[in-house]
Amino acid sequence: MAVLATYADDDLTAVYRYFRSLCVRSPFLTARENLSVLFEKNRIKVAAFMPTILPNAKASSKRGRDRAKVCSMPPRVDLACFVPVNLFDCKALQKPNQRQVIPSTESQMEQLRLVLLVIVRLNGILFTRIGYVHSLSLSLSHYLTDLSLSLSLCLSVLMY
Amino acid sequence: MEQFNDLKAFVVYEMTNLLKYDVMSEELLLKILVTLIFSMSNAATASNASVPSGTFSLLYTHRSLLTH
Repeated sequence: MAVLATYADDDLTAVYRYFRSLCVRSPFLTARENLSVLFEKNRIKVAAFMPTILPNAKASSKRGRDRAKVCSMPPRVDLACFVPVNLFDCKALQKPNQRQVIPSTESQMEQLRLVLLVIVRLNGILFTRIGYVHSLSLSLSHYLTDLSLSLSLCLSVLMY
Repeated sequence: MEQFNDLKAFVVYEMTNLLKYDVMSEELLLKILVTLIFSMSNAATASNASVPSGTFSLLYTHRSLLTH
């Protein structure tokens, strides 16, 4: 399923499926190699969109080379992600005033695609530890807590 | 680490904006959370840090979504 997601250019789902294949009693170890390849491709994509993501960041010459390699189209996202939650078999979340996903504008969808791209990049940085190996002596748990709490808060706000 | 922090700030800011417009489903958010928890566990194991336990309990609460 992760490979299929890769073909569909849905990196987040691919990463999710690969992680789940590693988090079982008999892990599929090839997934780790596939993840490395996927994260490297994602790093190049993010480098291409870096002026959009961080307008104030200085683009290095390597980023410039990377930018030339990739196409200008942003990655696609599996639109099944936007299906209202009450279509899923999730009785615990069934409430009378069930939240519905509102159809979004094209600009919001583009922004979401960009955010998902960066989220995969964050996963790549954490997973491969490329980019801050020299800083691991700093309090990593502080950064992890910060990121994790931010996302937990987002999810909690959405749920309730 | 600088790039990591910049990207993290970008994600948190943009996700806050996107949540206002209700364009993200619970499944997508949970997918994001699961992948980040796994990456964090991987990074934490390598650096003797700890992953915040609150995220795991949140994940357990909504585990039924993970069957998809």
